Formats: sequence, structure tokens, C-alpha cells
Amino acid sequence: MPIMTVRDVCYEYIKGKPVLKNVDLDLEQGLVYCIFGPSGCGKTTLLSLMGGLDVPTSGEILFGGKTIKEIGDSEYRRHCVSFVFQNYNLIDYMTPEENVRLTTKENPLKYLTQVGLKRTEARRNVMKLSGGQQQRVAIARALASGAPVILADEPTGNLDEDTADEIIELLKQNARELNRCVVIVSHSNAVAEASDIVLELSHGLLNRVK
Amino acid sequence: MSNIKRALIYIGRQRVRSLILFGIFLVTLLLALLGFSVLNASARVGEELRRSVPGYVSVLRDTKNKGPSVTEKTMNEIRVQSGVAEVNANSSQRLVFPELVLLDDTTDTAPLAKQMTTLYSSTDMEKQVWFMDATFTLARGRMLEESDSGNCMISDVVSFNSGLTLGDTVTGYFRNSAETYDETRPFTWTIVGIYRVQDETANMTNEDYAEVPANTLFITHADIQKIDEADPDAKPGQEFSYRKGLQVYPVEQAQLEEVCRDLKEKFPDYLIETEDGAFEQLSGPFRMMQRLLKVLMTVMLVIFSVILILVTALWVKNRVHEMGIYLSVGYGKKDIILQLLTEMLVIALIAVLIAWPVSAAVSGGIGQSLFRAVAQQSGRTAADFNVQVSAAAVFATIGVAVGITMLATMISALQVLALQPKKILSMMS
Ligand SMILES: Nc1ncnc2c1ncn2[C@@H]1O[C@H](COP(=O)(O)OP(=O)(O)OP(=O)(O)O)[C@@H](O)[C@H]1O
Ligand SMILES: [Mg+2]
Repeated sequence: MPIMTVRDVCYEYIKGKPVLKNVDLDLEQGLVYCIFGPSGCGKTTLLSLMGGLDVPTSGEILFGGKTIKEIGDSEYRRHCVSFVFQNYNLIDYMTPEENVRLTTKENPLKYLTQVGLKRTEARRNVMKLSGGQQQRVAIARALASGAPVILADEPTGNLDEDTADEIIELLKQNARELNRCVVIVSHSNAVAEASDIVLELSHGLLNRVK
Repeated sequence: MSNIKRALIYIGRQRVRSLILFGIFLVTLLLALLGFSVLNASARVGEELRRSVPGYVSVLRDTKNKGPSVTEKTMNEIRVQSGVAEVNANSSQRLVFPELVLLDDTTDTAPLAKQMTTLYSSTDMEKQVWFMDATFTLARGRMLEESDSGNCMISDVVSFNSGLTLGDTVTGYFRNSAETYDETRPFTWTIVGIYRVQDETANMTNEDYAEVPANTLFITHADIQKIDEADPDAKPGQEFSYRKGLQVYPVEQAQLEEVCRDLKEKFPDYLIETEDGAFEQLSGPFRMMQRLLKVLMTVMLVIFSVILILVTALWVKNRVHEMGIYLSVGYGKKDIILQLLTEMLVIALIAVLIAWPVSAAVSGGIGQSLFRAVAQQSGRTAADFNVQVSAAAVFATIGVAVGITMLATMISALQVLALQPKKILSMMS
């Protein structure tokens, strides 16, 4: 049984101009999904709907058989999914440690070292880190939440090839060992190769290509 | 992460904002607490004045209708009326004092007219009207007592002009005619007290007395009686009367009007009315100041509220992105509002902890100087007068500050409630 089901979801920002048209998707735990498609095709939009940050114009999203509404917005965002934003969305007056602590009671250093951040960097203001380092803090925060579904929007966009590989490996490991479901929006071939299932979003339609 | 933890991190990291907010709180709290302490001080000064300058009911002979004189008997009858605490009697006489250099008080051009003055007696000199409203204060020597037969008090002006000082004597005589006085019957007093005229206008002719108050000599009832008895104009066997009437003090100041009404009913032949002018005059500026202060504090409260509400609303608007992030990682809007509230309250608390002792330290001085001002005006010595902000005022201030803080947060919370995480977060990407 899928952990998350996207059923017949349509979305439009402006009436009559749908970004998503009847998207259907079943997500299984333990697998890594890759979604790609041209810029502006609606990948972030789809992820936001799955993350419970917005509601579809029509159709529904189920988590463990329940709708997000039934679970409750905050509860859903805290315990069911975790998000890695394309633009990181870190709290700018906090350190990486504190940002990670927002989603977990565990020691944040555990997650920050996993993504390759040094102890000293973990205690600096996040705004004093490089883009790549910030991106890794965002990933650590998502991993730390312990939610079964991880939604990552271009998580390797700002990383060099080696670091990117490490991050993909880490996400994959999370899927395998912690039985999580990882959804990655990415243009990178490396990600597509590492993923179990690859989907292409174009003209509002989602097609499986692998 | 708990709301308090996030709030503390915010306060610690966003120092400029925290300091500005802290400054707003501190200034307002200080002003409010100081305002309260001044209010408190002036209220205390008012009470103090009330005690030392009580209102009374005056009982006078109704001369117009040829009513009965105010005598010892009248006094004894009034003294036992219910609600009456104390009765102070006053009398007067007039004599010629050839050696005194008096202030010029009359248009009468007769040679001796300028040497005539009033002798005034009062059972309790402290309660004599001019001493009570501080027109006069004792400058040297001592206040005249009832047992001071043969002694007198004189003003500093007249004693100075006449070259007299404590221990010297003054002698008065009956006037026989416009030019002569009865040298055969001198009345002599030793000066035991010299009073100062505090109110300069008292050196001028007083309407009520048709002469300069500073020319007055104070002597005892017994001595007035002696003069009365020797008075060639007096009818034989005439009872001694209190020409300047009685001052009747109620047990409770609040009952002044009531006691006056009762006396009027029971003693319809006398002129009876309340006298509270001395207190009104002395406490006037303080009541004025209290009113002004209350207005100022209200205005300040409004300004503070507006500033706080605007500042919070503006800052919350600037923090929309941050709040979107909190929402996206599963914090509720309630958590965000509580964080805002905690931030404000923690800063307010720090301001309270500083404003309280500071205002307490300063308010003692304020109370002291206020009291000194009254003391100077009323000719009293400034004794211990320590005014602190009352605990009630402190808690009221804190309560109001917290209330306004909550209000400001609630108004800002409306913005938070309208937040839509997708809109906020996608706007940034
Ligand atoms: N808040 C919004 N209001 C109106 N239109 C929007 C809004 N956000 C996105 N869009 C539009 O919806 C479409 C899909 O946007 P989305 O951000 O999902 O694309 P994307 O696939 O993530 O693109 P990219 O690869 O560049 O991140 C775009 O055409 C975009 O202009
Ligand atoms: Mg996108």
C-alpha cells in the first residue's frame, strides 16, 4: 500500500491556465523518486501540494489513506512530510544547529555532520554560510524531522559533483535503511540514475519514464 | 523547539529591534511609574495639608441683626454638639501704641489714627486664621500660649521698624480723642514671639479687617478681657465676648457641611458658615498638577499604545517569510503568535526590572522636593516625607503594559492568521 497518493490533482494559479492537469501518483516507502521537467512546468507547485503548503484546485492527496485536512495542516507538515526548498528557507537569525532543532529533539550535529557540515560551521549564523552549505543545512533539517516522506526541490542545485553524489547517496540511504519515501525534483542525470522511479512533468501531465 | 526558546533566540540575535522595543518599554514604564509617584506624592501632600490646614465652621455674631455676642457660654454649648471635635475662640481689641512704627494702613488723618492697631487673641494660636493659612509663620521666639498673660507676638516688619526685639516691651493705651490717649492706664506686653509675614499682600490693607494684618499684635484672651474690663466705653457688667467668633472643627473633615447645617439649626441667631479657604488655596496647585498629570499620563498611554501597535505590526509584516518557514516545518499559527507574545513580554519584563528600581530611587527625591515646595509655601518645616510608588501602581502599570502588549500582538496576529505558506515561500523563490 502506497504511503502517499496523489489522485486526479489539478492546480491553477490563474483561472483557465492549469499548471497541473489530473496528476496521479502513488508513492511507496523505501523508494527514491525523481521528477524532472522544463523550468516553470509546475514541479515546485506539485511538491508544495504534496507538502501540504497549498491545496489542489481539484483532486486530493492522501497520506496513509487520510486526507491532509483529516490529519491537520500542522500535524501533517510536522510528522508526515519534510521539505527541502529550492531556496533553502532557513531561519536567518538562527545557526544551522538551531534550524535543525526546529524539527527534532535529537542532537542536530548528528544530521549536520551527515551532510558534511563542520561543528564550527554548525554554530555560525546560517547567513554566513555559502549557498551550498545552506542547502545542506536545509537537507539536514528535513532528514532530522523523521517524517516518512521527504520532498526535496533541487537539493543538489548548488553543490559540486562530489558533494551532490554524497547527498544523493545519503537520501537513498534514508530511503533504504529508514524506509522513507524520497521525492527529488532535479534536472541532474546523476539523480535520475540513482532513483528507482523517474517521472517527467510536462504540459501539466506526469509521465513515468523509468 | 519551544516558543520561549525561539523567542529568546530572536531577542538575542535581532538586537537592534530588541533594543528599540526595550527603549519604548523602558521610557514608557519610567514615565508612567514616575507619573504615579508624583501623583502619589501630591496626594500625600494633600493629606498632610488636610491634616495641618483643616476646614472649620465659623460662628460669628450677627451684627447686622444685632444678634447675641459669642460668649464663653456659646462656646461651651457648641463644644458638646455631636460631630464637633474642638472649638477655637478668637477675640480682639484696639489700642493706641505711641512708640510703634506701624505700616500705614489708614486714610484717617487724625494724629493718632496711624498709631492704632488691633490686638488679637486666639485660644490656639496655631489655628488662628493667618497662621493656619500660612500668611504668618513664627520667625523667632515662640508661639503664644493661653497662659501667656502679659506677653505678645509682633510682626517682624513692625518690630524691625520700631527697633524692638524679643524680650522688649510694647505699651498700649485707650484713645481718649483724636489727639490724646489715656496715659494713666498703660497696658504692657513683653515680646515672646516674632512672626514673619509670608504673603506680601498681607502687608497691604486687608478688606476683611480694614487694616494691615502685619500690624496685629497677638495676646491672650485673658489680656483682651482685662482691656475690655478697663474700657471706658464698655457697659458695666457686660460679659466677655469672642468678637472674632469661633472656629468649630468637626471630628471628620468629611462632615464639615453636616456639622455646619446642624449648628445653623440649633443656633439660628449666629452667623454660621463653613471655612475651607485656606486648604483650597494651598492645595489648589496640587490638585491642578494632579489633573494635568492624569491627562499627560493618558496621552502618554495612547501614544505608547499607538507606537507599540505600529512597530509590532510593521515588524511582523517584515517577518512574513520567517513565519512561512515555521508553518512549512509544522509549527502552528498559535505557536508563531505565542512566540511573538513571548518576545514582547520578555523585553517588557526586562524593562520593568530596570524601570522599577530606577523610578523608586528617583521618586523619593521627587516626593521630597514636592513636599519641600509645599512646606516652603505653607511655612512648615519639611520633615520626613518619603514617597514611594505604591505596589498597586507598579502592578497597575505592568498590567496595563502587558495588556497593551497583548493587544499589539493580537493585532499583528491578524496578519499571521492570514498567512498562506505556499504564497509566502513561493514568492521568495
Ligand atoms: N504564486 C504564483 N502565482 C502565479 N503563478 C505562479 C506562482 N508560482 C508559480 N507560478 C507559475 O506556475 C508555473 C509553475 O511554477 P513552478 O514554480 O511550479 O515551476 P517549476 O517547475 O518549479 O520551475 P523551476 O524549475 O524553474 O523551479 C510557472 O509558470 C510559474 O510562473
Ligand atoms: Mg521549482
